[in-house]
Amino acid sequence: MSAFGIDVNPEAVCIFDEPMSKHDVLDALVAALSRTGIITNIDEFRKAVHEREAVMSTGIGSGVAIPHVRSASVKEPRVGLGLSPAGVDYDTLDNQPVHIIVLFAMPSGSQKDYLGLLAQVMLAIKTEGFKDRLLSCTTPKEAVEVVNSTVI
Amino acid sequence: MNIFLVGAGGVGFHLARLLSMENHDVTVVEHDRNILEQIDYELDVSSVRGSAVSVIQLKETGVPNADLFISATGDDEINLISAATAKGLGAKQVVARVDAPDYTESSILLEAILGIDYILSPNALTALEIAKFIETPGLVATEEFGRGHVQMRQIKVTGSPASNGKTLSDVTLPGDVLVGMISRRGRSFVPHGASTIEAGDLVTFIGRKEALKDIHKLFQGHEPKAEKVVVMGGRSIGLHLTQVIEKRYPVVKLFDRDLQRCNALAAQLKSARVVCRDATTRVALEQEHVAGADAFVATTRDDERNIMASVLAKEVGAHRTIAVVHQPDFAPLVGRLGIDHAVTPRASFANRVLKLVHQERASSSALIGDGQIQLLEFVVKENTPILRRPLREVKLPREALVAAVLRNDDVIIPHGNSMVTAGDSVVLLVRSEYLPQAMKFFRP
Repeated sequence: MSAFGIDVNPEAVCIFDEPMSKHDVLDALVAALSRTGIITNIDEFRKAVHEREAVMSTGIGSGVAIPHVRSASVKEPRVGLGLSPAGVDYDTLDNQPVHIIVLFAMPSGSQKDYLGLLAQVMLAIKTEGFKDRLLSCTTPKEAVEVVNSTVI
Repeated sequence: MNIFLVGAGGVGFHLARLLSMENHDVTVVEHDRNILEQIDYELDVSSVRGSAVSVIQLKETGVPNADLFISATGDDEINLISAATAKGLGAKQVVARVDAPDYTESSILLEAILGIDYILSPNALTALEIAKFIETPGLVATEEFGRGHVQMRQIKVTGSPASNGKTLSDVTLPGDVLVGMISRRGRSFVPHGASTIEAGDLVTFIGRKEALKDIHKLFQGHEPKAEKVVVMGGRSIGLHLTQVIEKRYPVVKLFDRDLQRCNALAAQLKSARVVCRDATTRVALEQEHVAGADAFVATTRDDERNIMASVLAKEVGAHRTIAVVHQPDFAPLVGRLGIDHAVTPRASFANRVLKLVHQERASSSALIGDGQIQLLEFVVKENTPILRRPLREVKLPREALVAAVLRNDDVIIPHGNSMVTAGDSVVLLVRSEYLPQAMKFFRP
């Protein structure tokens, strides 16, 4: 069982070696998720992600952001993972750069799964040492191993 | 847009006023007769006397057809229930105002559980604004446009070489930066070459993001990094702020005069020192060494106390003073009293809600200050009056300005000879009351 309650595909993982803007980070993650074949309309999905962020940052503090969108352009639940050792300026309520971004794509109407997965990801992030292990990964494959092999 | 707003106390009333200025269909639900009377007298909105949480009343009022529903009473639980009810009844998007730190911490989960689209906390947003102002002295607001490549920075100018009475045409700004708007003593204007920038002005710069970083050096004297910050008032704004900044500065002190609250605060804070004392007396400020503070922030619920304490702190020798001012009418006074910055929770909240409202017509938007100035980013259509002539010849209202043009992946900071072509995205900077007039240039 994965730490996120759902397996993460290597192609949905982005490691940002260079400092990048929040906008570009989100675009990269949207594109990565789209490559896994679960998004029917990438423009609509991308717009929904940005619109949500514009009103209120999904940074939850302690260097983590959980952008999340339920949309009719998503076929099945999937999680994208972005790691930024340099940190992204994310306009969070604790005014700290974000290092881990978990992008949640959920089909509209999947209320029960959605809540369970969201709670699971937040729990994983709070688990001692998990964030550091993720951030020490240098390849998507390593990151996937850490997520998919950690039992919370 | 068909908008329902529940609760029109301070926070709700300010939002209702801004929404009504934009010609939306606004219905305010409120139970207090005095507030209803004030709404009918001052605002162009429909008002209904009723309860925020009565499912039947909300349905009767027409909430199922709402494009946007906002619950902004002073009670977190009522707002959560009310917003969840509205969503259940069929409102398209719902927003709940929530301030208790326990709720704001897990707001993403609460949103998912209750089906609420946005949980927004005026107090948490205010604390964040203050934290940013302390970290980058003089930085009042930032907003991003053009896929993150264009930035707006609003800066409070202090005495500095570039601002000493020189006209704008004599000041060498970094390339790709323009001065969009100057606010002075509560009035704002779009400057021209002969305008001057004075100490105390609030100036809105727009430009390529990297170029804007150098602006602070030009319009702020040298500012050493803050080391000592004093916060007065340990309710939600003060606590939130202290939690954000306590790791960042060597000395953070939090004053509160209530002993019980102080004990609770001490348990929640890590390195900040809690001082159980009234910070509105000169003796207290002197004995607790506020003289050496780089920043003094007054965050109580009482505007008068915040203003008085900030004035006193400045007298005693605090370097910068910041006051939370709940009543927006007081904000211009604050500058005149020598206080460096005023932050208004109800404005922070309303500005976020307005972003949501504007998403209908703009890809990005921002309202700054108390809502006087707006920035909107949108795509320019064919056959609109703005096209095919230099911007200099376009008679936009005096207080409106095309501040940036985005063409493919290029950012253009325009001047008088620049032209806009169909398909470009533009960032329009405008005083709110001139928005309808300015938008005529962008309609076929």
